[in-house]
Amino acid sequence: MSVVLDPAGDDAMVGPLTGPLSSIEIPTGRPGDPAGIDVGTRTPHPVARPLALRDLRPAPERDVPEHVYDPARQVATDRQGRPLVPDLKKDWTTIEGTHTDGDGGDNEMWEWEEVK
Amino acid sequence: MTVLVLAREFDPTADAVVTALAERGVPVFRTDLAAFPTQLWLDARLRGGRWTGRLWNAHHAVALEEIRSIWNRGPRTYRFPDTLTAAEREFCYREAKLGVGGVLAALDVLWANHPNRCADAIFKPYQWKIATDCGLAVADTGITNDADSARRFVGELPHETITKALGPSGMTEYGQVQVAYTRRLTSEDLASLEGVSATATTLQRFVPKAFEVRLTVIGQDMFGVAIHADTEDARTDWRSDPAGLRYERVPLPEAVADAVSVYMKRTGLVYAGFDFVVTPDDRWVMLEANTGPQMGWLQAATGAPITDAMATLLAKGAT
Repeated sequence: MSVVLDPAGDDAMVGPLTGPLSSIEIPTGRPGDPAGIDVGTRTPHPVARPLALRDLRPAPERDVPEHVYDPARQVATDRQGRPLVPDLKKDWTTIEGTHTDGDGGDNEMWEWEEVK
Repeated sequence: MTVLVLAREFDPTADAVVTALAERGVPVFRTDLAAFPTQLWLDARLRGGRWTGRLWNAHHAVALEEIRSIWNRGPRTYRFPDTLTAAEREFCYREAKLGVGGVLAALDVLWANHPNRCADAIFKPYQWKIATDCGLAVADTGITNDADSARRFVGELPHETITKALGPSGMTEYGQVQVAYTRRLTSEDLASLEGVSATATTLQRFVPKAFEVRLTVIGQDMFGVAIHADTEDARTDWRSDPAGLRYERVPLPEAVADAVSVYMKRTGLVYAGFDFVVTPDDRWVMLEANTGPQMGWLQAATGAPITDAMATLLAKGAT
């Protein structure tokens, strides 16, 4: 599985910006656009683009190792049931296409994980 | 007493901490909140002013009164069947958040970190203010949606100013996932600042750097790791070139450690990942403090015993 990495992802929570437990709700999508995903149907206006977005770059991608979650041991394992952690080298991983806002849609929020 | 780990199923850092806890014989109940309500069940009763009952899945269960600590490790949010209408799912989401989140919030346990403390600290302007109060140096910063104000901040030296996002800077646009790194402004930016008015725009004076430091704070433990970058982009934002970075443990100046300790108390956080610039004249300038920092990569790169520190914190719980 290939994932997209968000090198800004320390606090890039999946779902509402404040996470699923906070009593404070800051949605990640625009009002009326809970998924927060722009499919590119609008005409781009590069001049008025927010300053911080003028140099957007494709997010890097990495492969996530094949794995299954062992619900009894509560860790990820390979297909032979060996825990992944000791076999993983340092790397950057993780994206989750995930439901975030109760509307049933899948938000393409992403963040990074660094795997030892 | 059990440690409740709220994390996604693929999370090697969480795996490492869960394994460390298991090796110590500390019971762990790990779940992703996306398992609620179809694969994770809650039965909570308010008895004698205390929430009792249990949380369980097909393989494990934990009594609410047995939870000693909760690691809020970026779980996904509640997931509801598509057989519900959108309005029903919205209702269910709210009830789940208020019910599950409410019961967990009412437990008298150690949170690492408490969701509402994380929510408070998500505001970088708040972070910078608190950091300054605590004695940390922060960069000269402006936030504006007025192009003239931005121009005055930038002055004649656009290359000495950076712009950055205050929140996650990734987005999907035109079918491509993209990310905006912190970057230094250019003369072209200064000539065309219309984009400033699009939203709250953050400008910050570029801080000359010898290197950066990611300081991982876990309870009383502090692990400073220097991050050395060799490319121009990575010297502005090391996240832009992770493969080209070099790491080493660095000692923490006493004054910085003291200020960070005060910051942690002020914000109610028990663990955090601070980013600092260390200037060529050895000044430490705080950039931000992440309330859900990644950690495994720093341990892998330097041997810093971060996993053990997190396991110790969670195993100890509230005291």
